[in-house]
Amino acid sequence: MSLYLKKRRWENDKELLATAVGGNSLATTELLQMLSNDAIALAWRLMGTMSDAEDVVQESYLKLWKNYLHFQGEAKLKTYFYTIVQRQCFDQLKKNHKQWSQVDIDLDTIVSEVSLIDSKIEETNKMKSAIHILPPKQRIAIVMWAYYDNTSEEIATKLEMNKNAVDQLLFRAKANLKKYFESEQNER
Amino acid sequence: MKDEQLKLILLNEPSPKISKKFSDHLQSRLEMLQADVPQLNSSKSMAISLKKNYWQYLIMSFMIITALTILNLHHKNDHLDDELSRIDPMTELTLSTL
Repeated sequence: MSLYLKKRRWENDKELLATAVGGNSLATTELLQMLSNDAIALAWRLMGTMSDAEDVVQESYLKLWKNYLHFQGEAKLKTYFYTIVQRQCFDQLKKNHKQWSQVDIDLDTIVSEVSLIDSKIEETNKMKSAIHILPPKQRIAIVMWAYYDNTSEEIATKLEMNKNAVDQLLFRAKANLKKYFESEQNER
Repeated sequence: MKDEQLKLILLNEPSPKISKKFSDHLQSRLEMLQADVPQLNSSKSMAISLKKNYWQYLIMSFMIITALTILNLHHKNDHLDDELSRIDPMTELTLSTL
């Protein structure tokens, strides 16, 4: 039976997930290869560090495993899993009330962050993105806009905010990032 | 700077990939969580029921063959009964009489 399953290709995402959850290591490997890189990139952009991103992705996989019956195969497994990762990131970010309620940062902070991030990259040789200087809500809004082509309405639904508030968030995030990149260009 | 330029810069920023160490850790952690999956169990139970049916068919075939053999033997022995009924009860039974 196991030999039969190993030789077999999975007909759809639902079958692949069920086989992986059932303990087939070949299916688990295929599933991890299919989902992990994009999930790590998404979590890293939202969380800011690799260790936080790995924690979130691990938790998301555990949720996927425990609730695998909820996946009916209507959407792609990738989309379904990234939604879990997103929610997990939001929940983690919300835990830090002070940061979560931070609405905006000023230009001076951004300029000082530029040198801080540069020095951190040199010190630890770890990757950092410009979006990591933004407060969490702005970061989420800009990630959804830039990498996932989400509209203000879609972001508003995800963040449980109204559209006008999201428009303001996006406007501020874009303005902050433009300032960041311009100051970076001036330093060069 | 226009919005589209900003988007382009962000899209061109490098992003991390999953490390081999973390991927291996995830694989072993998830394999430990192995659950009973009804979809997979149904194919397993189908295989078990097929096995059960196989034995049922084998026993039934054996019973049918036995019954046919008995009937066949009985049919063969019928003419002996006929011969015996024709013989005078007083006649000494020998093999040659039959």
